[in-house]
Amino acid sequence: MTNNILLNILLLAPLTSALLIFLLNISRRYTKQTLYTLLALSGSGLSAMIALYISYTSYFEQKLFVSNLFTWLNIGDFTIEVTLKADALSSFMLLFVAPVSFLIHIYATGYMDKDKSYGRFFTYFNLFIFFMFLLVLADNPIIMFVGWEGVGLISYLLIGFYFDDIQNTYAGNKAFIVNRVGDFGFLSALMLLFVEIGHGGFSYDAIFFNLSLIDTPMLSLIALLLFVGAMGKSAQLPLFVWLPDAMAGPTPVSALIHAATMVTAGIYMVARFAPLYNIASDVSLFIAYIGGLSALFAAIVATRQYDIKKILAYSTISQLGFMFMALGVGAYSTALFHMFTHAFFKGLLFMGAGAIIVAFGHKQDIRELRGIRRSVPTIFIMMLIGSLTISAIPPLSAFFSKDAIMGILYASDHLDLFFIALLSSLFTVFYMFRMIFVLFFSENTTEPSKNSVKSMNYPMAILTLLSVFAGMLNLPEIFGGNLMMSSWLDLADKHFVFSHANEIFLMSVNTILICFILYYAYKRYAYKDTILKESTTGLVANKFYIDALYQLIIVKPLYALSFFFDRKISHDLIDTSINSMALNYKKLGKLFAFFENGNVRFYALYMLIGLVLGFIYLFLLLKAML
Amino acid sequence: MNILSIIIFLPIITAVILFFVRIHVNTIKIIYMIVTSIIALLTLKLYINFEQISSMQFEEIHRWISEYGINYHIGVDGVSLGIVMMNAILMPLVAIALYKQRDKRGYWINLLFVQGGIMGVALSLDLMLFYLFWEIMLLPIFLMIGFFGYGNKNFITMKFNIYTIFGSLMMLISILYIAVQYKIQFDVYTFELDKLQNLILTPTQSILVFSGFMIAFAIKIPIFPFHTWLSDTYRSAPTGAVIVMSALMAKLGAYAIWRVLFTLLDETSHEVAHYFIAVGLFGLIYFGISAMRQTHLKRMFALSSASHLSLVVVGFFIYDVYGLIGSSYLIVAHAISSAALFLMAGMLYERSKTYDIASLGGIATVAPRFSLFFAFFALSIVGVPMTAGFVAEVLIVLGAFNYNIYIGFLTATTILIAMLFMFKMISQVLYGKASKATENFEDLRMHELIALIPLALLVLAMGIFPNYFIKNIEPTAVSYTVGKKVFHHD
Repeated sequence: MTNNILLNILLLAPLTSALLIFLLNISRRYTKQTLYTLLALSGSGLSAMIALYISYTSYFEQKLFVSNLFTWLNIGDFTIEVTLKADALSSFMLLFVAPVSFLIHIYATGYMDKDKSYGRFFTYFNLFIFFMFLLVLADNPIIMFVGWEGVGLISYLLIGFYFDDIQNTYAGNKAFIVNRVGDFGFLSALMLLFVEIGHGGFSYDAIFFNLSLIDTPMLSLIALLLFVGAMGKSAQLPLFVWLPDAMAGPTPVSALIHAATMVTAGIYMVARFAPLYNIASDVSLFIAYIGGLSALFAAIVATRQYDIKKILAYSTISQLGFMFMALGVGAYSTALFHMFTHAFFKGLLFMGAGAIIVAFGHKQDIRELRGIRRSVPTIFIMMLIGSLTISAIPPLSAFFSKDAIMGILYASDHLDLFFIALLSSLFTVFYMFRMIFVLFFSENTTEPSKNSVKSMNYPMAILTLLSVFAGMLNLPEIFGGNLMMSSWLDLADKHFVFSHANEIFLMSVNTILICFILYYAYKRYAYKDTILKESTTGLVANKFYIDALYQLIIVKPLYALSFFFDRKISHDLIDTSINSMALNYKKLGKLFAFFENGNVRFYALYMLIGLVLGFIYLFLLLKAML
Repeated sequence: MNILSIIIFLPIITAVILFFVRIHVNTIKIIYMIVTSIIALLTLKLYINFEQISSMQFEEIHRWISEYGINYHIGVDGVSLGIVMMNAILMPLVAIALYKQRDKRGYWINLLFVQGGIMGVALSLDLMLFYLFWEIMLLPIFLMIGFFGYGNKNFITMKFNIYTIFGSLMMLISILYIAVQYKIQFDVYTFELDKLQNLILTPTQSILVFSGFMIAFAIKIPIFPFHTWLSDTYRSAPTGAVIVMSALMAKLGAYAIWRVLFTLLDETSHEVAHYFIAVGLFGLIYFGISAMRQTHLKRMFALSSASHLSLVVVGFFIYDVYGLIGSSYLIVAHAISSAALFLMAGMLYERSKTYDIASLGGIATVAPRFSLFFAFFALSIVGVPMTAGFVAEVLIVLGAFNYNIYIGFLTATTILIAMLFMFKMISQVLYGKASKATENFEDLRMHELIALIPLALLVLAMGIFPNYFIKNIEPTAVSYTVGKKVFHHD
């Protein structure tokens, strides 16, 4: 009983605060910023506390929380209940989604301070948490899809948050449209799944129970289409194009939605459907390769980006690629573990970027922000720790999570994937430290316009600690751990035999290579102006021309088709022929008007003709009768 | 007197009386409000007393021209209920939103008249009566565009009228033909829908009769290629008429497919279904893509509307319980959203004196409430979750996948089509820098809010708690799929 209420409060607290802020904001009465802050923080804070409690009990007592809200639809077999269920996987998601959301809320109160749209921002922000919880807690894929689309919608609204510049809203449009292309796959997959086994119920348990009733080709198709949805939401090749543009939104949005939570929904979805992907192993492998390509591609592109947020955006794509590689070879909990640590260190890096952007009057180009270490020492330290973490330096958290992925790729006999991952990981070090060295280890060029706000520093400090220590949750055996998280999640992981000697060897080689790249980056960028000399032409600097390609093969043909349909077919072909019918009637009318002209002489003539014809007819008739 | 008869005739009789008495326009507005509010209350009562069963309810039958078996026969079931409710809810709200703008007596009299006509079409169970109301509801629209429209209105209203009357004549021929056939087979004239079901027609006869009806409905909806009257008419029509046409009359075309064709020519409908699924899918994509390059706001909405109605046609002809329910739900959902959007387009024009999308912009800065509602209704057309359109689209797509996997994929493109133009339009109209036209854009006034808030709440309620609403449609929809199929297999 109380458990139901807990789950309901968890879900409804952010919704309620969003509604209240919305009403205050739309009423246009003067409202103190503090009131908004209070409402926003109480909504997200309450749910964060409950989330921690739920994950705590789930972890230690294996407790299952279920709350049945209402029946969404019930037509024949199609019964969709709005049921919240916090099993191990959902509790795990809550464990980082809710606290990180709360921390970024605190950060945002500083970042958005005195913004004229403060209320609107927190309406969206709290609504986002609501949809994210719905996504994570839903007990069936249809309600998950509602949450899935909901977070996409909020993401759209927040990317275009500063709508005075219409380009920002175009970036939002792009994000929503590209995501919807993925959702097209997701929805189709769900519908196919329902057509196949919907009669047995549509909760996850029921679906997985009946999976064996589906034939293999259909199952592969469903698995593939589901992954198309994940591709869109988690910005993988070829649907990644929206994420770099999404950086048009305020930085807390990038930190929360486009780094820590929403973009990981694709990972969650594939992990949720682990029983399906375990059967459809061909699709799983496809996922691994898409992930690998995305990881490498994004890491390469990031080495030639100059916008501090875009570097981090490509980095997110790349890290998500790592997770998909792990999912693809069947190591679900390993992927989730990396997602867990990623939420902290990427959130931290974005917050650091945001703090720099605020401190230096909304400059984002690292070429203009060189040598700022003395101006923002605390941010420097935290950003440095974040960068070391993402580079997988031991013993920071990503060292454990990323090396676990590498180890699994190695052990699963996909050496090509392993080398892709290794290469991407080295590029990661390079682009991260290119950024760090340019930002902090150069001649000073700018002075800060504003000192950083305290409410922005505290959450960053907490995330720094989490980035450092989160790896403890899933320590591998060789460091005396016992993979606690993996056993808690209890997903259908594939297990690979992997000797400790190999593992240690791999880790050492990896770490040495990383240190080497780090040194190379230092030599190349620190206290030099190499960054200014980089050419902005060429394949990498232009992101492999993929945006231009999409423009050329999708957007332009669509507009041409629109012109063709509307002008040529509708107007010239159909409408003109219909109008010409009417026109011909008019001409016919003119012809008759010539005869019906009102002159008595003409009518006398017609009578005469009529009479003559009548007589001829009578004559013929009589003749025939005789 | 039966509640349904009051719903039909109260507005018509009031309109006729108002036509003959010379009173001030403000009095007419008050009378309009009173009458439409009474209708709204009566339909609310109807909704509450409505039982969740498949058969006709609140039936009323009187002999009218007994020599030819023409009866006054009306009744309501799960499908017509939605249209009746929409008509009753929209008419007073439209008046609240527009009451300051329109000071012509004819405007309000015509709107009243058309409300009765639409109720009549939705509730008739006798084909002669159906035809009569079908024609009656056309007349006020013709007059409204002619008197109060914009642009090349005389040409356009004539074209629209001739186009529609051509369709109606085809329908009349079909009606008379089957009545005569019935007389031949059963030795008595009748125009009763449920009796005419027993008629046995050869395949050729059925196809001809079907085509006669279908031309009328296809023009009204419109489906490809009968759509060329649409965008010009919507562009020229005054706001009140556009709302009636897009939100109600177009839906009646789709509704009539179910009411008349699925009842009378069930077997033929099944046989030709795949053609209409193809035409519907083509229309869905065709109209959506055509809308992309529109620069005139109302033309864009017109094509958007046509695109969704093609989806409704697909949902019907799939003949699946999910498709039927989804389409009926979409009829209602789209009626609300498109009515609200056209209403807001009217407000936009009144304030900025332009419908040109490119010369708008920046409204969000000066009029946040207007932008909120405008974006909300536009997004509800796109079918974002928690709006009614989302539920309807999911159900139609589900039905389509049940029918055939390829049809399923094509139908699922509906979640992509509307956003092709909607998002860019939202950006250009609401966002960016304020233009000359929108500098002094006034935010929503109180009476406009009163009109829009109920619509927005209804869209949300239908999106969040669909089960409550769908329970009324389900029995009827099931009876048209499960029952009939069993009947045919016998």
